[in-house]
Amino acid sequence: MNLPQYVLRRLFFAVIVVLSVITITFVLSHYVGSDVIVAWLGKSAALHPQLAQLYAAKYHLNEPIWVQYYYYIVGLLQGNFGYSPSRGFLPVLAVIGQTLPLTLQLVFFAFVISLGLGVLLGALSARYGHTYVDGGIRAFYLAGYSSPPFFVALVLLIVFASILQLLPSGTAVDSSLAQPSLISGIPILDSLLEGKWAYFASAVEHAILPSLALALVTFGVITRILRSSLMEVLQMNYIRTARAKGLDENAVFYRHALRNAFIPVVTLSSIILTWLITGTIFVENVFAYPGLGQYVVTALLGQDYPGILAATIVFAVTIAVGNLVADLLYAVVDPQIRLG
Amino acid sequence: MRSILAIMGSNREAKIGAVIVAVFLLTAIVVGVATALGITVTPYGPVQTDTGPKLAPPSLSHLFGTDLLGRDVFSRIIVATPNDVSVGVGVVAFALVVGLIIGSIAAVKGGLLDELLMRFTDVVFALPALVIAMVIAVALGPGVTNMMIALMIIWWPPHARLARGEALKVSHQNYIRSARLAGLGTWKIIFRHVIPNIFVIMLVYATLDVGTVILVYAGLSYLGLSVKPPAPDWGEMVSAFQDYLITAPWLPIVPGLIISIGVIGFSLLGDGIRDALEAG
Repeated sequence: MNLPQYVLRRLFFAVIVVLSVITITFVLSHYVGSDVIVAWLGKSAALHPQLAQLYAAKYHLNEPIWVQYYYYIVGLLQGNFGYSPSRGFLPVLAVIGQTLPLTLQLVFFAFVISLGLGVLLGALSARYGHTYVDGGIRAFYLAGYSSPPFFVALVLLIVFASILQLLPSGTAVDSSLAQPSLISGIPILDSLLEGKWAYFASAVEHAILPSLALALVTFGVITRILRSSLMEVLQMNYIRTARAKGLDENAVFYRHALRNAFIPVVTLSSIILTWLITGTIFVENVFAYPGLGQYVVTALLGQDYPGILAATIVFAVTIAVGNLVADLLYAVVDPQIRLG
Repeated sequence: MRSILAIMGSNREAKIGAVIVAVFLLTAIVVGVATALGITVTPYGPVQTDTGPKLAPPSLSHLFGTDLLGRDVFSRIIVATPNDVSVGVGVVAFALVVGLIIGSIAAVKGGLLDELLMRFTDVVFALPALVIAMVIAVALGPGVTNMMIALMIIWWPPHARLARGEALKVSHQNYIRSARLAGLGTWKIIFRHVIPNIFVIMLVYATLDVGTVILVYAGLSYLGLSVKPPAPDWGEMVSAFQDYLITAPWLPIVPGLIISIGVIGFSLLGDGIRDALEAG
């Protein structure tokens, strides 16, 4: 199979996944809570029965579920995700537009930190295999990936934000600063492009702790796989040849071994990406970071099913795109891989 | 199997893991049985208030201190053990069984059935598991059992993929071919030859996976989707006491550490069995 064929096949599969997510979540979210109108309108539902009826009619709440599904799909095709009761009936699309870029920022930083830390410690661990360095690193990553993300986030919050007061917590940026203009939609990137340094610095400051928390619970997977992959590569004949040629150990290690040991890390990056994206659900709620993870939880607790649905779809699409990119990268990095 | 145990016995990490796992399992079983019989095994009742001064630091009479209602945190943590352990073990056991069945049928039958089963597995695998589990959990309502069901629905695909891969390796071997030639039916081949031969490898993955499920469950509990107060639960305790991290740090830190220690136990045990398998 050649590359374009492979991409098409993967895209087709991604579409099926997203459609299943929509259908499954649509059915499930209709069983969330008993009386939707009461959940949405609160006391006003009982005080103003006519208002309640108006809402029920407007959102087709009294129709059978397949009719509601039909209206939902038609709306989706027109780019209408409905209105979000937990956000004062703002269009869901607008809420996603505000929250998703913030989550993507976090995931990006977390991915960079996780990969950096994971590769560095993995290489060190293999370079000094079976020594105290190796043992110490193993204890560190074992503790990292065995800890609940919300707990790591909480400890970071208390140590760095409350006790040391080095970094801010809550919200995504200092609210007194003017928003950058919409270029990419991602605030950190836009403020950088526009040269709004104060905003940029503040947004980065707010993103450090949440992304560090996500990185600390994921980097261990990279460290572990890189270490074992390096240990294996170091036993191979071409490494022995390199050593026999008289290359010094550092050159053998960094120039010859590390490069080939890297392939499993690329494969793993799609799994890491999935963990990071879903991990934002916990971490954003600890730091009160107003991204998609926080939105999906308030939507769930508020029986806001247009919000639940849209957030779930966006999570699914983000993960599907992430996996597609990682798989393509894998095919590019390792020419031995047969696509299919 | 005996040689695996022998190799594991010489592995210090595996031993630590086995001890941790044993302590967690035993505690869960004892508390579970005692609760069913209506006996209190903890120093105080889990929802009993004013067992001592409010927000008391850890002491001999209150090992992990007391919370703001004067409830004994140690008793609450012990009583919550069956929740996390039963969700972890239950969800993974279910995933293991479903995975073994789907994976070995797909591998042994092959053809269209294989394609159908595996594409279905791929679709479920690609769903954002945590988000879907949250939605299912909210739809079913709060509670440990409902949380377990929510996770069972979504958790099996990696087990099925692994089982199929391992079953494929086994099914190309000669003794399976001869069993087939001897006229043994598919089900008999699966249960007599395939599953027994891939079981140990699946068990390693399952052991490692229990820790992951406990982490996810704790997270859902932290978000308030599991037990209803005043019933105790580790994740819920962290979230309920997170504002006390400076004034009474033991309140959120102890349940958080308990979760980590349990997960580390399953990781070390799983790694230990795997190393023993590779060596043996």
